[in-house]
Amino acid sequence: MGEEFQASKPIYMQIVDKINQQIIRGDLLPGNKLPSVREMAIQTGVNPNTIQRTYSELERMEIVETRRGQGTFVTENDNLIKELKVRLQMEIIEGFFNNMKELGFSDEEMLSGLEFYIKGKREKGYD
Amino acid sequence: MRAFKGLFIKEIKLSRNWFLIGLALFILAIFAGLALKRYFNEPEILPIVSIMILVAHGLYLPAFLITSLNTEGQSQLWLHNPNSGVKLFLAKLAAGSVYFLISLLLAMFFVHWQVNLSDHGGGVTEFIEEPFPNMMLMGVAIVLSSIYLGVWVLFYWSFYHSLKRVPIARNFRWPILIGFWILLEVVSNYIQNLPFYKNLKQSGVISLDFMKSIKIEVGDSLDTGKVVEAAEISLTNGIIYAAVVILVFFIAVWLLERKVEV
Amino acid sequence: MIEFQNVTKKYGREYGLNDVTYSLEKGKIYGLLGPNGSGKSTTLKLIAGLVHPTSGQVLVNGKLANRKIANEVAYLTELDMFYQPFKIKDMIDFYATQFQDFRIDRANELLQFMKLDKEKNIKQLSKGNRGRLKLVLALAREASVLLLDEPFSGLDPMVRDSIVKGLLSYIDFDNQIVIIATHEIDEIEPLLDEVLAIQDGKIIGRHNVEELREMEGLSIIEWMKRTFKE
Repeated sequence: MGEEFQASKPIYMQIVDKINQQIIRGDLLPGNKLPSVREMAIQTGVNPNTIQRTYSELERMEIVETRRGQGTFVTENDNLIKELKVRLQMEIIEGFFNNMKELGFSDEEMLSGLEFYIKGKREKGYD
Repeated sequence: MRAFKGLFIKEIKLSRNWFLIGLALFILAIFAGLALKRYFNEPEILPIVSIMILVAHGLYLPAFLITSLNTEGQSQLWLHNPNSGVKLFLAKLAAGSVYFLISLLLAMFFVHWQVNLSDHGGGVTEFIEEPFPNMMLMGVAIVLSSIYLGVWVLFYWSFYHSLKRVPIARNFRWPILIGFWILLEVVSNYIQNLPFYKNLKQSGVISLDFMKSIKIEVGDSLDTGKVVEAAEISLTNGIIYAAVVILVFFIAVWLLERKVEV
Repeated sequence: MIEFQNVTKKYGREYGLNDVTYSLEKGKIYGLLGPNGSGKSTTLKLIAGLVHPTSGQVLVNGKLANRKIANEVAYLTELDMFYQPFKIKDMIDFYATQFQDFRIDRANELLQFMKLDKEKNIKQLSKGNRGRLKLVLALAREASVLLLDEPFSGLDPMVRDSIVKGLLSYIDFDNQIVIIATHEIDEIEPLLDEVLAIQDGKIIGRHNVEELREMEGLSIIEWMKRTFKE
């Protein structure tokens, strides 16, 4: 059945994250229709009430909009998607930053470390 | 009606094998009779066997119901059903009766044939005077007693399974059942011997004189036994038995609905 | 709506359930979790009207639960519930005559979904297919209460998956109450709205699955480990 979920985070939020990633990657394009609540529930093996909550949350974030009688669609407002992209980027960077800080790295070490890593990756070619 | 039909068809399908086994036993008994007849060189054995088969049909319905109820167990499959206990039980009775009547008719034809055969051969087994009405009456008597016993089976089954709920009685269910049966026998004997009941019984008697003439004689009239002892039918008695059967049936249903648990 | 009001069920001196009071509302999937012999099956049988409380009462949609409640309750037992000499279609036909809310078209659809052949003899079905057929029979009904007793036990992941998908495809999540009694929680956690933990005939905890994650950062399995620790 679908996927595994982390224990510490509500399932509906984990599905929100997943859908957001799909939008940023371009797997879901602006104006694309999301599966109905039931279809999504079947795909993921998740309680329909939970999926409903996921969709409400996405709506609240204005990432999707529900058109009466037609379904739920990814927003066509590019700015909102850009904002989302930035926000997710920031979240990841924040996580990275905090982890590094906890280990006692300085800002410079962090930056040079990241540069070094990216350089190495480039030379090997991304996979 | 749809629900009852569904239950009935289910019972018919489920007990088809039972019916076939019954027929097989029937045929086996005939062959055994044939073998005995050859062995003892006694032509009267087969008609006697045929009559025994006929009489044994009195136990057909009770035996059918016991098997059917036991295969069903107190399974959720049978009892997880919104239809009334009356329907659940009646469907079993009805399906059993269909098989019972088919088997009984076959047995009656067989008896008829055997007895006629031995008559022509100048045999000593005789249904003096009208053999056919005698057989019909016997058939009716067997049907009625089989139904009567069958309904008691329903009752005892429900009773037995109701006792499961009672913690103290749980381990003594068989003795309780037997004790209950003895008690009923004693009480009914007592009632039957009351002058009041005897008078009641006399009030609607139809005498069946020709029944007295049914005799089976074996060999050189060494042994003479009457098949039907009481050659009278008491209408009042009939009504009383009918009332008893109906009452027992509804007690069985009540127990099934209220006391039997899965 | 299902209501337990001070329900006690004794088997001899043993308690099947010990003075429990709670209610369950429609539109939710409940997990009834607990070790073997904790009272899960007794709870389901009480709702199905197949056993009677020693004291207290069980109400289903406001009606006292007795055998007739089968009209509104679909009950899938952990035992096999088929007539062995039957074909699948015989079983379907039989159910259709017994339950007024049984939809033959739905049953056919479900059979296709579960890849079951109507003409197959029940005797010849594998364990997994029997599990699937049980669910077909339960889901083809438009019952307001659906009780599933250990629907996954002993079944391989493929079958479990098809059962979960079948459930999600066919339950009416606005109006039905679904109760899944199980001791194997792992795979069905995302399926549940609420869990009730039961032990020694008592409800020892009740939680909304998502709230538990939000408030305490716990999955049901972790919560169970804590709840049942002694």
